Amino acid sequence: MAKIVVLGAGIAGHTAALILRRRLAKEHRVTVVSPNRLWNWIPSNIWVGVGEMTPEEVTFELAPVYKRLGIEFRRAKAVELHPEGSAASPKPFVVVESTAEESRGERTEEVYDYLINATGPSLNFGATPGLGPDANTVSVCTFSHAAHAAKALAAAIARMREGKPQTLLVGTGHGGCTCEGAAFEYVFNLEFELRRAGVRDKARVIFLTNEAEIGDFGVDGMRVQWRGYSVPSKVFAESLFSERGVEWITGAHVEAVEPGRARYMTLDGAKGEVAFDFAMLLPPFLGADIRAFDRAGADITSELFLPNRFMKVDADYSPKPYEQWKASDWPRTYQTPKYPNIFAAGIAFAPPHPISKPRQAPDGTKISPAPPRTGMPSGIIARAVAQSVADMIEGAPGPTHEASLAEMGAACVASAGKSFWRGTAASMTMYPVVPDYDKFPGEGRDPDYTFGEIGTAGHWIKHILHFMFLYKAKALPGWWLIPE
Amino acid sequence: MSSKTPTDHARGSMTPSPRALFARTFLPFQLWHFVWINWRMIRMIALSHPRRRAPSPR
Ligand SMILES: Cc1cc2nc3c(=O)[nH]c(=O)nc-3n(C[C@H](O)[C@H](O)[C@H](O)COP(=O)(O)OP(=O)(O)OC[C@H]3O[C@@H](n4cnc5c(N)ncnc54)[C@H](O)[C@@H]3O)c2cc1C
Repeated sequence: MAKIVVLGAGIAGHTAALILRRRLAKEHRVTVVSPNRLWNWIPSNIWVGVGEMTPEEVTFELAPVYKRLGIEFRRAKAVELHPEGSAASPKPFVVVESTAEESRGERTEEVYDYLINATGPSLNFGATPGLGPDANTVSVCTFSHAAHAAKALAAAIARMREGKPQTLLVGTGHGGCTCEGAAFEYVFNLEFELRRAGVRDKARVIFLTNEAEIGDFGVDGMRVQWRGYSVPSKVFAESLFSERGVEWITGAHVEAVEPGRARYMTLDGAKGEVAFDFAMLLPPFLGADIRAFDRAGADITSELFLPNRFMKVDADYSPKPYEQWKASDWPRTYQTPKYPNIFAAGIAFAPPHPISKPRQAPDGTKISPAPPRTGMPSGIIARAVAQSVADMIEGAPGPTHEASLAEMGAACVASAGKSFWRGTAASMTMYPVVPDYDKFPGEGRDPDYTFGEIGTAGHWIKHILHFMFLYKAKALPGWWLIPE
Repeated sequence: MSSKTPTDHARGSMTPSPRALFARTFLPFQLWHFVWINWRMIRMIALSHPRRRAPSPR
């Protein structure tokens, strides 16, 4: 009998738990540890953030699903990792701290044979003074943040209806942010809502981003195949902004946000300020705050995690200049080098380096996107890890499946307004996520699989994906037929 | 310069023609594109899913 502990019930952790449970015999135990009672389809938080969906439409209770499937669920967060056990307990274990109302703060030990760390990002609002829903900006990173953002947006719209012009600022709240695609999607949805509310003429909409060019998306941009041309994503993205009258500020690091005012520095060292009435700025990400200890109780956190708290896996972390980055630097199995029974999936694994060219301001402030690990890659990595763990439990000597971001594509359907007939979405796919200049000289990506398109069809796809992934996450009949 | 004014934006960007704008929400065209985008995405997703490693793991 083996016990697998999965930390996190987001896209990666939940996918891994479902696949393991389906794959393994009942004698093996699958335990999910996650602080939240609800599963959240995060991509639809964008629609919650403009008031087009409610939190209830993008979430569901995890406990009944896990009960039906025979997965154990602990409402808790992992705080310590003991991969060698301790003097009192010979088996490896995780210390978890309860987040359930009845036992909040209680610490217990979860012993494991295999551990999958899928703890996703920790939202680091503290990196920029004044950033975040507890200070001067809103966010759409969680469904509750998004519901709060929708209220703030509705209030701004109400003020515009009274004839007061408003400035709406959307983008990244720090030079080291990732997930620019989410900010891109939010600004278009917000702009669509302003038009729908009949107040667009009262609004100045500004997109502020740490990308050196819009359309970089943290993947060094891409060239999309479009009507017989190979078009840089910058052209495609700038066109969408211009058409909607959205201004942009690129290569920007937000230094501080005061009530109604954001101060920033751009890559050329220039300092700027934007006054706003509404600001949705994404935070930079860190990994979950988990400390690791050896058998003797010595702190070995730095052996398992990078300083940004993401978990070290089978990647090449040796520092190299941009020109020497290779597709082969990226991990394939997501197994930790020191402990073969520990894996990381989704955002929790530490990328070897960014994908976009690193840039900094003259004073050394780094202003360039961190690499995105979006939903599809997070799910695919989780599948590879779950299959490897299941095979290892059944006797395989090591990981049996691999899923490198340099051999994996990503599909991004960025909604630009939610309406069945008038809504549109930019549908983009790229293959691979990490450019491979040896395999695809010149562009680094396969032109056959890297394309972009905007239209109502994209909006329908985005809507269908919403229902399809909620169906799959609820593990309803035939869920496993739906790919990640 | 990293920061641009709205006028700079309009001058430097590609803008859609009335025909392109019409096509974005024109039902028959979008139905066809729905099939086309799905087909391309399915191919890319199939290509991206985990593969079994060579028999001797690292
Ligand atoms: C607004 C927004 C829109 C997005 N839109 C898209 C999109 O359209 N398409 C797309 O592909 N991707 C999109 N993404 C990205 C996508 O949401 C992420 O790639 C995906 O959620 C990553 O999955 P994950 O499982 O690694 O992390 P998460 O989904 O964040 O899950 C992490 C889990 O770990 C839990 N956890 C945290 N700390 C601990 C701990 N200490 N112990 C135990 N559990 C812990 C959390 O509670 C959570 O359950 C979007 C992201 C945002 C923020």
